[in-house]
Amino acid sequence: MNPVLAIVAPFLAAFTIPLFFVFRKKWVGTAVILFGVLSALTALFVAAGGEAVTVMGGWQPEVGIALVVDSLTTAFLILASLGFSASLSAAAETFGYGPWRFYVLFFLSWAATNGIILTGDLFNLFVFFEIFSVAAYLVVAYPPRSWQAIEAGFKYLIFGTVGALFLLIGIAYAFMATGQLNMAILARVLPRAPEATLSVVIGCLVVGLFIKSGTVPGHFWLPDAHSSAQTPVSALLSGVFVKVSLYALIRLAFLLFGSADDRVFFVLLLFGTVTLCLGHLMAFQQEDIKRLLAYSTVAQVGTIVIAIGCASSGGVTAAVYHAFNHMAAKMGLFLVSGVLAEDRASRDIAQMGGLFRHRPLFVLAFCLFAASIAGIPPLNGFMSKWFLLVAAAERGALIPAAAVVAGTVLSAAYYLRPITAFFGPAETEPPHHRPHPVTGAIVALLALLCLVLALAPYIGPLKEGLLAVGRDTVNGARYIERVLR
Amino acid sequence: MTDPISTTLTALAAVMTVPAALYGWNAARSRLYRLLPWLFLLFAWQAITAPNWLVFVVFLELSSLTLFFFVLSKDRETAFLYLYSQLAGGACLLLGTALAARGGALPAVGAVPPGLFPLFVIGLGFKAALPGLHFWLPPTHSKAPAEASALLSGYAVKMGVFGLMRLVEAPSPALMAAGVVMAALGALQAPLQRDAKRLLAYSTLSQLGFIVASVATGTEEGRKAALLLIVAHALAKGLLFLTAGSLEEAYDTRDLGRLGPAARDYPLLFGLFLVASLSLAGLPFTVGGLAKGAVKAALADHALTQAVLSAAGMGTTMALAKMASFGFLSSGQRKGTGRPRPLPPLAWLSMALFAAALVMASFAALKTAGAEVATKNVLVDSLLLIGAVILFVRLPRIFRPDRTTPDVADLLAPAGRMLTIPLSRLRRLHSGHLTFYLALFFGATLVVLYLLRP
Amino acid sequence: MRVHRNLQRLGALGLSLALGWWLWQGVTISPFQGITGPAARYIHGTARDTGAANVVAAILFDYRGFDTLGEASVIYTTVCGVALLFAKRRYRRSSHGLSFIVKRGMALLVPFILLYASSIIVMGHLSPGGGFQGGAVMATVTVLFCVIYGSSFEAARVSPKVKETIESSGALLFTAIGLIGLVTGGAFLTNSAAGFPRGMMGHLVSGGTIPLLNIAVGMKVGAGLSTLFYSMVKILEDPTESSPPEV
Repeated sequence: MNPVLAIVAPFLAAFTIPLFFVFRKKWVGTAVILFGVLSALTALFVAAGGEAVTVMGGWQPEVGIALVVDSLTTAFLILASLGFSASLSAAAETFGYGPWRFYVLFFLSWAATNGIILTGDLFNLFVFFEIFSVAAYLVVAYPPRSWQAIEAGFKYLIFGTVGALFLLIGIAYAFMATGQLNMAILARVLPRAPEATLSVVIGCLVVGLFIKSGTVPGHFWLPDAHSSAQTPVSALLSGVFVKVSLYALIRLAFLLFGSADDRVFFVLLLFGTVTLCLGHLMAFQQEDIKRLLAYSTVAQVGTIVIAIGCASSGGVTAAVYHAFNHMAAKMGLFLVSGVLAEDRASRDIAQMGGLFRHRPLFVLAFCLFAASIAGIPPLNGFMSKWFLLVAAAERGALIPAAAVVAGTVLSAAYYLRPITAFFGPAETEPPHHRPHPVTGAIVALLALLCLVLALAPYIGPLKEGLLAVGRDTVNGARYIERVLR
Repeated sequence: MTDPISTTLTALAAVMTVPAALYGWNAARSRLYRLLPWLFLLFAWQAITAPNWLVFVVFLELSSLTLFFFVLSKDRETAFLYLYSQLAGGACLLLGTALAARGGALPAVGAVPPGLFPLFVIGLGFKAALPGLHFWLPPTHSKAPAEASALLSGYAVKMGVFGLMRLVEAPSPALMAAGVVMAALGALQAPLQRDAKRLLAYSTLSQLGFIVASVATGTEEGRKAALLLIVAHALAKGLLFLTAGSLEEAYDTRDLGRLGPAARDYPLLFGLFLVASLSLAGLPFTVGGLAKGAVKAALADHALTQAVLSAAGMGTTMALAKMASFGFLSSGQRKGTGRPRPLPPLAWLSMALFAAALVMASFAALKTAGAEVATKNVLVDSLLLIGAVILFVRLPRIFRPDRTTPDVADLLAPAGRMLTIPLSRLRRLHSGHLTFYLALFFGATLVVLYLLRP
Repeated sequence: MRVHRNLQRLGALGLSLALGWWLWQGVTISPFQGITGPAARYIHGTARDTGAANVVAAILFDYRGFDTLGEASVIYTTVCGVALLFAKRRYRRSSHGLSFIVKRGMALLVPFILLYASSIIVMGHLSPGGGFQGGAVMATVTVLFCVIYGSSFEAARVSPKVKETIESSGALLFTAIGLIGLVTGGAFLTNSAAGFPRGMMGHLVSGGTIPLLNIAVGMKVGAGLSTLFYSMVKILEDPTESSPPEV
């Protein structure tokens, strides 16, 4: 299947839903569901199709825009389609199909996400980042009734624009120095650029992606956006959006900056460690359950950045594996806490008493996800942390490795707080009892996904796939050769 | 790996778990709780027979996790303290394992590169309660359910020691010093406690000191002596914790100042207590006495250590004497809480099992050691034992149960407060001022550019 | 307090200068050695490859047409978002306009503006201009309607639904052309290789898909900008709007 279809399918959805609204209002719901299935399936088919390179318009990669599918792309395409499908189902249950514009934005962000993952052209990457970010600001600000959400969206807008600016400066410098935009060609010619220019290119791109991914000190938008947005959107933000920027970081770090030498990876290790520590320490102090989860996301971003900073195939494997684990667990946590917060009509942890009696299965799922994120031994979070520790040890990055294991203890500490509250006594009965069958099913599937991921190192094909991602990604020459063949 | 150490510990795990599970059978809040001891047994077996450090750490953590749920059923704060401390230890071990695995296969359970030795000792130190890292032990042991305390003190801490036994292959003076400090600290603290289970907890600390010092010799003899003491201590302490738990069950208190004439109400319980405490105190010809003799023999080259350990042994004796005198023999202090509750048959059965195991272990140990070794130091040991009891009787003021003594747990609250200061600084950083955020970000951008300079 | 504020300003100035200096010292201006890389290909190959006279249009709609789809989608996203955020059920349309003379003058001008906009769009591959520019000019018509006749007139003439339809159809048209290229030419947005007529350079029918894509983008941008303006203006015109709505 042609990779471009993974981008076109959600685009078609976004362009058609308004027409459905204008002409056949009753079909909007069906259309949303069908297009969701279609987009997910297309992306999965593209992922299953194996390695492919296609250039828009049938030109050579140098003049046209290339889309590249390799193992890293495959991994993130799967991650994105899982995350978007889960979030779409939850959104359909939470919002209904009335706010059709929300779904338009949703599909636009899906298309942009697939575009970022697939593209092999630096400027095209920026364009898709723009669609992705604009859609993200808007879905965070939805619904417009809530002023916190609008404020969070505004903060995100300011930060995201600064990030986009830096990305653009970086791309412009790269273009100025080489006259090329294709990433494979850039990987060849960029190292010949003057050192000063190269450092500006790398610095600007790294810093821009720091903001997009929520790495310290570009993380200030993240807790607000994650906690103020509606539950399905928070899950999507944490599960997929953050990962997409990390994908770009992995791709650029190994393709374009890998040639620069170890300075880039040192920067990644440094900022990853700072992010990890700050995220955990801030999460420790939160009273609002969604803010706690948001800061925990910051910490996990730091973990993944550290994994990238290990500059080895093991590190990339750990990063991708951890991205999957975090997607499964954190989406589940956000969905569960959204349901529980709705029951209590409050996000305050202290108010969350007695919810175990109220919704035992949801609370048990919360415990599973929390244990997984914290890295309690047999679960998936532990597995990926172990991969990461080995990679960090091979790199000799002692302090980041120590920070990762210390983070395990801290995260156990702060996740125990809401859990204790859930199991604790309640002063009053929870006032709301809306059933959530779809969210419940998604949470169950995500829990299953967590368990499967925990077994991934023992399942031959999955393990081989994960290792292949690492191997192929660090091998920039292979990528270049495939694109320019 | 199968060798005498792992075989013995595997068997010991089963011997410990069965009575503990029986004891807790009736008290269990739900069926899941009845499962916990068996889960613990499973994980403990896996950890003891682990081929490499990673598997060891994973199952060690899992066994800690089962005990965490045990403690959680009774006291939440203590359970969290236990969990954090064990996770911290596990984290150190995990880090060490990852570093040792650098560029090769997973490290087998055994000696590690010298640079990583301290990290492993710290990690195992959390489990084995080395001095400074023992802060979790007294509160956890005293507040856990009795059967969990028995498992904790009898087996869980021994898994940390097991790790140390594998780790130490050469004499380690630092570890020896740690063992001596532990033994002395435990022996000093134990007789001053007023909570029966806390007293037993400090006594555990002291005994662990003996074991660690013996392990620290790095000789085969030292490891064997340590193994014998592990068995002796596990059985005796298991039984002691169950008797203490039974006292609590019967009189609703662990406070030695408020317990009364239990020896009159439950003569059998007192008998069981005596069996266990005599062995623990090191009465000649019991397994405890033989084990202590073996430890001292292994430490023949370290006169100072030997001396301190002998003194610590007296402390243990005094602590047990205190428990006997205030817990079982004191007369009129208790004020009208009515008749003591009867104990369930399963509790008697489990304690009887422990006692039987203890007696059998004594016979077996005697047989292996031979008459010559067993009678070698009878006179000195007996004198020390009697001397400790005499000291206890002559100095009643020191051991009065209404005294309060400084305790390591007192430091936890101020330490927690100290930690909140930097945390609140960090929180103030997130003030919500967009300009400030952006300034911070641009500053960081400059740092990145500086780090990337050509 | 004042000193504090000045210090902050000083800090900000220092930060900006440092960052600016750093970016400045990275600028490389290599001596001119002729045009190389993709730029050379664009300059020398446009006529042969696409048949379009306007190199910029060829880059925008053929060589890098996929970027254009993305850029038009950014506008589409923004429009959709603004309409989402400013969606209000009840608002008062204003029927106040400017004076009679202005209204008549405007009526005379409208056909010419529309004609001008269409020519910019349709001749995008021949001369400077194209879908983005033409679409923006087209949107000025509805903006002028709003200003001169009042927003109720504008809503009556070009209802929001019509705009929505035009905008989405434009986007769909773009995608459909791309998909035709995919089916017949083997790659998304294939132009002449997929059978679109290259035509004679300089003629109206030339450049294959480029004029079609220009029209699609024109629809998207024109209707989009118009919706954007309309969504915002109706917030301003609501006299009942005083305090922010409750959460």
